Amino acid sequence: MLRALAILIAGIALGLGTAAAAISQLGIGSAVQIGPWQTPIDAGGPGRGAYLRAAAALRATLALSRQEAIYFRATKDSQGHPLRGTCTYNIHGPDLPARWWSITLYGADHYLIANPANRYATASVNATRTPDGGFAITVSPTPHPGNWLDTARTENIVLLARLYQPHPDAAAAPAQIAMPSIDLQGCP
Amino acid sequence: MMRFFTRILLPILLIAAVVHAAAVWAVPRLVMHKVIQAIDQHGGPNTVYHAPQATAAARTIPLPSPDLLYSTCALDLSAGPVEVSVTPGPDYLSLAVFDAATDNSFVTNDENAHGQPIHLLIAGPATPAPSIPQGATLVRLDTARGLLLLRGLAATPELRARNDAARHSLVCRRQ
Repeated sequence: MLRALAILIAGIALGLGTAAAAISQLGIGSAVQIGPWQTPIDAGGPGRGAYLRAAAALRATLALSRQEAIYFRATKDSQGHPLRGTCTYNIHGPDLPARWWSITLYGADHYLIANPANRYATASVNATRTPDGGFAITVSPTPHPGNWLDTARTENIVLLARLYQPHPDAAAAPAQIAMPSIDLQGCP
Repeated sequence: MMRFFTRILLPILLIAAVVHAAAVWAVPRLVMHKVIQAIDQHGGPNTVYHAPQATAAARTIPLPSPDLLYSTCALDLSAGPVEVSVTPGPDYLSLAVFDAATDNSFVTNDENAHGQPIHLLIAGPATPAPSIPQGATLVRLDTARGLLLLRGLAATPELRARNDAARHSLVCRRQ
């Protein structure tokens, strides 16, 4: 009896453990990586596999299918170091291929970060542009002119780029999208 | 050795395989159940709820975009289809339908509508061939519960004002 119980507990523990690892690893494994940015091929579409569906439910609940929106997530800078809210970063690149786009700053818990200006994101429709038509956003705990997102010194931060109604060539081949660089400017 | 395999290791692996498959299947359904349950609290199923714009202090859906206005309707198709309509303005506005497993089964937007109202008839698996109103698009869900989610671009005060007016034309009701 005791042995049967031990077998049952071991089986459940092994099943849950491998499921959690598979959702984490296989969900990511099906993603496209562009520099520090990562996107599942299709975050919300019905053709996803079981592992991506489970991973997206946990990380991108209510994501749209790829024809309507493409989501890129970054937790590291372009040099591969984890993003930290005590540091200053420069996000810069060309205009993104979509009807409109936004880059939003979250805490590691995926909640927006409270800040005095209630400014959580920069979107294509309100971004200050660089002379070449691209954009630059400063992510920093200290004020900066132009497009500034306040980290409020939150330790771990996450960036999410959303491309709504991506251009057909971008939707067909998300791996070819020229995503912005995330360059570390300095840490205290 | 053989006895250890057949009496201990094999049962553990079989139980683990079943639990593994069940957990992967259940995760999106549990997440969606929780989301629908939370939205149900705003007036019950098949009722439109216009959520306030997301801030650090308040959010209606997980991982919200602060540049969007969201309106929701928690779908209950067990008693028959639900009719949905909205009249978009000139700015980005989309209507997405999700089933109970988080799949985005259908999405359309203001550009697809070419300035015309969007009219959907959403039917569940138990509904036999519903009568489709003229001009409506039939959306079939594999599950009796689901979620309608309207997104309207609101990244500037002007966009917010226009799309707030547009989203208030959203109707979600039993046929």
